[in-house]
Amino acid sequence: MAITRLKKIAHAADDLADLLARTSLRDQRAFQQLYEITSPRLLGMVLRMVRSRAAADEILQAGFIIIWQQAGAYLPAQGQAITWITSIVRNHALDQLRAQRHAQAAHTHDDYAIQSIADELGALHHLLAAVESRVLRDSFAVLEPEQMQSITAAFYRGLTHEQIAAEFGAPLGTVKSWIRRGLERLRRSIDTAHGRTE
Amino acid sequence: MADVDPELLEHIAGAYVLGTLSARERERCVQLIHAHPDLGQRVHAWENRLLPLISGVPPVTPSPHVWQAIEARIDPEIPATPHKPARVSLGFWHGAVSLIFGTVLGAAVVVWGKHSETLPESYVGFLSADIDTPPVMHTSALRNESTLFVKMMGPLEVESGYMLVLWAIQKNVAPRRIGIIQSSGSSRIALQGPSDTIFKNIERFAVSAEPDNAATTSAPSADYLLKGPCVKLW
Repeated sequence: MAITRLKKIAHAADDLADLLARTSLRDQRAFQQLYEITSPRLLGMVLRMVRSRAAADEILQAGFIIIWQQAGAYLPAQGQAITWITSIVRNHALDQLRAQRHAQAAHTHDDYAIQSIADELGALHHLLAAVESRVLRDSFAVLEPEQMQSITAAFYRGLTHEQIAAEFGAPLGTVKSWIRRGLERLRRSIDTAHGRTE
Repeated sequence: MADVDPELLEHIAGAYVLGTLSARERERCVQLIHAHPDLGQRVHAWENRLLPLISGVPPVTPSPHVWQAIEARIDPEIPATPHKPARVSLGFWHGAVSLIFGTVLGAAVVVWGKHSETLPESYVGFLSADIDTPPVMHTSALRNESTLFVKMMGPLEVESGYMLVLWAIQKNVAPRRIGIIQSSGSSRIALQGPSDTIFKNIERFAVSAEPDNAATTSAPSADYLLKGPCVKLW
């Protein structure tokens, strides 16, 4: 059962890499397939960050234009195709957030209104529980609660150090320390699980 | 960059991927990534560590208008990036046969579709069992990239205990082993260098069946099953 599941995951990864390769050759059908397979999860990710459906749609659209333009730059040796695709869309979302184009929407939009910090953290725990990778689950389990909360707030909501400090009511230096030490623990834990060393 | 503390590089890369940097810091980091491969590699490593976290995010189906807007932007009438018009350079291919040339271009049109007015600069091969039969396999590598993509247009039967090996052939030079390919579907070969270095003077691609236990064989041990020209598309 587990082997079958692993085979399916590997097959899906190969499929995405193949679609991306064909996209780099300007194959529009392959690009559309790539979009149909990956866009729902990416839109879910962007929505959590910008909290506005209109803004998320814009970011998804711009992200896939970048993917179309730069598909030939993907190098399989650097990671899976889905990781490359996600990094393109997520970086674009972060750039937009930092440019504060959607800052107003993030504070006023009614469809995805900001919930309380407690609700958000609860949702993040659900997200972590849903993560399929045992390595990631185990790696997050070694973090202190403050480290996990600040890292997940940054990752899923795209918050800066300053924003996390403001939401958590903690000094900026303390938040930076939580994140820095938490990332260091994560790196060691994930790399050890994958058999990688510095 | 060699003088920069590796721990600091690691911290910058982690913070960039996590997303905690300010706009100015992110902009500076992107400049550094382009300038310093070490930082770029650390960023890729962090992406591989953290980005699988999105598998826990509930998917949301995009509205149809999002794809329609994307489709309008990638319309071939409006090239996404400036490319030189496709041109086939066959000066190196002295054994040219117009039939094969026609087959190559015809197959290229089939592969890339009727909308492809500007093809990316690539090395392309179309391989068949002999000159009179249609191609059953194609290869493509973008210029200066280090990956060769191989697609079988139909399954190729291989005896048990044998594997398919792709070779690059240059006149008066021993065939160069490129890598192992699958007998059906798509496969990908990581080249030992940029395609311009590997394929610059290559005239043909060929495929032979080699014993499974001869993984490092440096010369084909049997007749080629498939052969075809290596064409520069630019």
